[in-house]
Amino acid sequence: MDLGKLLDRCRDGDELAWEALVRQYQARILGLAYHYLGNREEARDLAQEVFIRIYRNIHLCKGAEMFMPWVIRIARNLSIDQKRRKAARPIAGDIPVDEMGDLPAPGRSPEAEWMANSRKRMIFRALQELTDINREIILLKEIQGLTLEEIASLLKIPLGTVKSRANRARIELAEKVLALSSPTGNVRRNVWGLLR
Amino acid sequence: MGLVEMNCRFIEDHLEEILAGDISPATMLMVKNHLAECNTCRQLIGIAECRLNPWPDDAAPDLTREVLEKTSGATCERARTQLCDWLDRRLEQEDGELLGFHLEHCAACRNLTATLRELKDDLPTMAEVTPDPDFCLSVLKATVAQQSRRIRAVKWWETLFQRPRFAWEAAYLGTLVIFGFLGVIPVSKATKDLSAMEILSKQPVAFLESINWSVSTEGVLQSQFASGLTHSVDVWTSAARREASSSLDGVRHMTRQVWITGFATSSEGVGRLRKKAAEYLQKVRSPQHNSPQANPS
Repeated sequence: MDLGKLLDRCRDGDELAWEALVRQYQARILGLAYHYLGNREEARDLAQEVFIRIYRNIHLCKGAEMFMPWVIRIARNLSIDQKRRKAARPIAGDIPVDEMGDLPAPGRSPEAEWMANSRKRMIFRALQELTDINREIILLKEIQGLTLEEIASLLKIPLGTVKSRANRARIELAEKVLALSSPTGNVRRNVWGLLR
Repeated sequence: MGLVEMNCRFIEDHLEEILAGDISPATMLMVKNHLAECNTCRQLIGIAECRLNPWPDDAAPDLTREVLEKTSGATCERARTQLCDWLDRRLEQEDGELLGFHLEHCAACRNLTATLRELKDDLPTMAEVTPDPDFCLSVLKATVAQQSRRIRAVKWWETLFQRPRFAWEAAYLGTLVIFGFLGVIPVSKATKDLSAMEILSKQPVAFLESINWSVSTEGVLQSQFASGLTHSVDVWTSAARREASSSLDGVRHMTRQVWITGFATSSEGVGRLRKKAAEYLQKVRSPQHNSPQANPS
C-alpha cells in the first residue's frame, strides 16, 4: 500500500494501518534519530517520541510527499530539545558511536557485511568531525534524500547557502574519510576510540 | 646539396629536412654516421620525432606547478568546487572536460573524487538503523493506547457531563448567565409593581410598612413568594439529583423543566403579589377607606 493511502487510513484511526506505517518507517526514523543524537539508547527513545508525535498529529500531515520532511522536522525539534536538556543536565559516559555496526546490509556475506559496517563506522566518525551545519546538511541531503528546497525550508537558511554548503560539506566529509582511511588516520582513529 | 661538412651544427640547421627525408642519400648516410657517434644529436632527433621526453619524468609536473604558482595559483581548490557537480552530472561539458584534464594530472583530486563517488553510494545506505525486535511493539503500545485528540476530547466532554456535580455547575453557570445578561427575572412589563417587587425582595418589612401593609398580609405575601421560590428550588434539586447520573439529554431536559417550573411558580407568586397590592391600593384610595365611618379607630 502506498504511503498516501496508509496515511489516510491512519487518519481514520485504522490501527493496522498505523502498525504498517510504524514497521515501514521504524528503521528510517531510528536512523534519523541516531544521526542526530549519536547514541543508540537515546535514539530509540527519540524515535519512539517521534512516532507518538506522528500519531497524535497525523491529521496535520498533508500529503505523502510531505511526510518525510514533516517527520524530519519533528525529529529535529525533539533532538534539539533533548540536546538542550542534556546540556543543562549532562550525563557522564556517552556510549561510543561504534554502534553504527547495526546498520542493515541485506544480502551480504558476513565478511562483506563486516567490511561494510566498518566503513560505515568510519564514515560516521568522519561525520562527527564535521561542523553541525555541514553534518546536518549531509544528513538531510545525502542520507535522507531531501531536496535543497526542503532543506532550506527546514533549516531556515537561503537556498543558495544550502547549495554551496552542500557541496562544501561533501568535499569536507570526503577529506575526513580520506584522512581516516590513511595509515595515519587509522592510528588517529584508534587513539580517538580509546579516548572515547 | 653538394659535399657538406657533417657536424652537430649541420644537424641542427637542417633538422626539418633530415626528418622529412629531404636530403640526398649521400648526405643522409653522413647524417646517420654522425648520429651513430653523437649522442647529443641522437637525442635531438628523438625529441624532434616526439619519441623522447626532453625532461626527466618528474620535471613536467614540477614545472606546471611552478608556473601555476607564479600565475593563476593552484587549481585544486577550483577543481574541488566543481567535483560534486561533475559527479552529479550537473557540470557543463566544457567545464567537465577541463576538470577531467585536471584529474588526469592531480592524484590528490583523483583520490578525493573516488572517495566522493564511494560516499555517494554509501551515505544513502546509512539512512536506516535496524531496530530492536520489540521496538515496533513498544511504539504501538505507546501510541495505540492513546486516543486521537478528537476522540479524547469527546470522551473528556462525556466524562464531564456525567459527573454528578455537573448539574449543579451547569445550573450555577446558567443562573449567572441569565442574571448577567438580563439583570432580573424577565417579568412581563417594567412597572411600579416590578420596582415594588425588587424592594420587596431586598427589604420586605420596610416596603410593607411604607405602604401601610397589615402584618397578616405581609406574612401571607412573603410566604407565598418564598414558597414559590422554595418550591422551584426543591423541584430543581430533586430533579437534579435524580437526573445527574443520566445522559446529557436527560440533564438538559431536567434543567429546562426546572427552570420552567421555577419561573412559573415565581411568576405565580409575583402575580398574586400584584393582585393583592392592586386590591390594597384600590381599597386605600377608595372614599370609603378614607371616611371616618370606614375607620372606626
